[in-house]
Amino acid sequence: MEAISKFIRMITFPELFKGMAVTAKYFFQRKVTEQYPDQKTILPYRTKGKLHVDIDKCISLCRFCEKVCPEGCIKVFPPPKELAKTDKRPVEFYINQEHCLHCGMCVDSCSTGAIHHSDEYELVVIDFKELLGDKETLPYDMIKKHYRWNYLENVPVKIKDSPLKEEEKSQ
Amino acid sequence: MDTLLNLWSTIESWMLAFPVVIYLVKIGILLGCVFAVVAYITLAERRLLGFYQSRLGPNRVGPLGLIQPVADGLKCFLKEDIVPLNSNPLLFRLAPVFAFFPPFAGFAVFTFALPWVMPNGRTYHYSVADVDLGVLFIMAISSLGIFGLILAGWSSGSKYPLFGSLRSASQMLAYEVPLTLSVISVVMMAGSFRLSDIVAAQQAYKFYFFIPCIIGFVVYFISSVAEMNRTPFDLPEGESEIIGFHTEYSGMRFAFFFVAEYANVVFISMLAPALFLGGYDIPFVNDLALYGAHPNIVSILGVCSYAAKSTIFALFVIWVRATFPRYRYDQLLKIGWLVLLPIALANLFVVAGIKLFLLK
Amino acid sequence: MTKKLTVQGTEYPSWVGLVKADEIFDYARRNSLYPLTFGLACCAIEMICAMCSRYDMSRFGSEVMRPSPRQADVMIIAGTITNKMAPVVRKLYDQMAYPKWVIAMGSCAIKGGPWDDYAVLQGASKIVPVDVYVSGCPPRPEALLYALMKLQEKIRNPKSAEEPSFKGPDKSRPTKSWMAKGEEIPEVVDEMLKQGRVVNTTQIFE
Repeated sequence: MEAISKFIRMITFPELFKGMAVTAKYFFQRKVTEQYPDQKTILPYRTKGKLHVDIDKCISLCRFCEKVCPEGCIKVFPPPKELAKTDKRPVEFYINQEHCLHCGMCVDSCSTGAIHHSDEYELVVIDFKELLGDKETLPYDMIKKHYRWNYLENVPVKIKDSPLKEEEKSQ
Repeated sequence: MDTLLNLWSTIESWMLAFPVVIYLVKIGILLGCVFAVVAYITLAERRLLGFYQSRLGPNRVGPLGLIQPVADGLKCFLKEDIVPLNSNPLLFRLAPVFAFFPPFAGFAVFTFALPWVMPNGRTYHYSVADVDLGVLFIMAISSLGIFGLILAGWSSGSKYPLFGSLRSASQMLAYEVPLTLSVISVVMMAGSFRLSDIVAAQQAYKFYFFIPCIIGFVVYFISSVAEMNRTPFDLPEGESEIIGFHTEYSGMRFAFFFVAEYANVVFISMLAPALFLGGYDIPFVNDLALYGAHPNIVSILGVCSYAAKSTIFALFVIWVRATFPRYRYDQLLKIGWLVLLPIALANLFVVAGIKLFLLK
Repeated sequence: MTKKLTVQGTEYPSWVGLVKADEIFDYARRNSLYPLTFGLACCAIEMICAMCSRYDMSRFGSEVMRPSPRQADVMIIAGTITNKMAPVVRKLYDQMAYPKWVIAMGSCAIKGGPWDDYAVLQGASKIVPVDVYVSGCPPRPEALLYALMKLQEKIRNPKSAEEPSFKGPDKSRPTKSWMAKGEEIPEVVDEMLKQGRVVNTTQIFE
């Protein structure tokens, strides 16, 4: 009996048809493709995108981000001492996105939360000098701001209920 | 209507005076249709492979991606044409042509429907040349395609294309024999080499030949997939891992190989219905009885039925490509020589027995 | 649609349009960009992901990965180019048939990335002419798709593609700007420039 079933299996190739059934199943299933430019992915919370800097918040004398950056792609130029007593904002601030690994060390180390990740990820340029952001070209956009786990005391659970929008409303 | 008929009769008299014109017109129509089908079967394959892999294929170039094959072809024709220094320039340039023409030449002997009858009683056949050794011609011409591949590999002046072409040579040799033997079983059933006679025999017997020759049909399918160099057996190309015979070809000449491969798909999937699935016979209908009453309707429906059958066959080939991984080389030759050849021979005896004893 | 086309004194009906042959050729070229199958490092995984079901590069007609450089149109340098690999990459580029394009994907391919050492080539642009740079470590698959679209735009019209894809803060949204407050700061910059503390922008990272 076993020999007969083995013979039948040998001449009818059930394994091949099983494989074809699997592909046929996927043929009729719903497709998982996200058609990128038209329908964009909902990015995960804590996406590490392009770095955004709030120059007004930066105290610049600590230069933690510059020291902690494994790539050395952040350069902060604090103001001279007499000016720093009243205004601690940096004179110049450069982030080089060519080298940036989006590791988030600068975000973790920043004591005032001036530097943070955004959800911008399409960092595509024709001329790579555009990737060097200085104080004027570095964007700061609260809507694109994303929190990280140890960022500040207020860690929102969902993006929808985040305190960001309240902050904007108050402004 | 009368003026149209008069116009047609004058054209017809001209064509009868120069019979070459009829053939040229037929060849033109046939080549046009085949080129269009070949262009769009590439798109169909890319989209269907996408569906099988749970994604959408090319859909951004034109509506539903319908301009994609045009863009691909035009791009290939506009690309730089590189002839390597080590190559044999003449053979290197000739090889794509050798690979290109056999499938297109093979279409000449097909008959696509029962003849069209004009109001004045003259009949027009849906075939360029319905020769009485049609199947033999097809077998001969389809094994010519290997010359293109061998020339391409050898004349490239590089060792990997040469290996690819040697692989393809032994593969073609291994699978040509079972393919021919499985076709011979059909020829035995029909008693003729002419393709229209084979279809007529299926209409006369009132069953299709895949019923007595079911083993032959399976053997035909497997070895024709191998003949087409398609995925379970695509060792001659082996695009992703083992480098194939057209490695050194760029631009237009590469497009020739590409078109030849898909023309082979169309060719094999149009040959299979004629041999095994009744060709232009409309299923579940007595064609010959209807043909006496409404000849033109039956011939049009016959073309549609032929097209539907070969489309289903081609879709099945694409489905197979989407499913199976590639065979190892020794497995491939083992399947060809040790499995398919004995089965095809046994099938020959089975069919001979059926023909002798069951069908008187 | 009522406007009539007039070419060299001949009027054409409204349904006649004129297209340059170059435009048709560029349409064909940019819609069938076959990439070359090779990956140098970890960015290649992200490139594979862009080819797979979820992001599906085949929608742009460029899923036909060509193993032979002769048949490929676009070279996606995905990963670190070591000094040993650099001649090979250059050779592959030389073997490709014109017209050909290069996408440098990831920090390593742009400027060596984290590997500022003896073994790694500092940027793909030192050996091949790069058309589009994708920043990230690694970039998301969407970023590669965006790069492909940018390359298509570059083939269509090189000038319009050169506009930066991200342009600082969005003016329509509520943002804070340091410029609004401090007017004295430019003077400070001048002062620091005199002291030599602030150098020219492009010199800083060289």
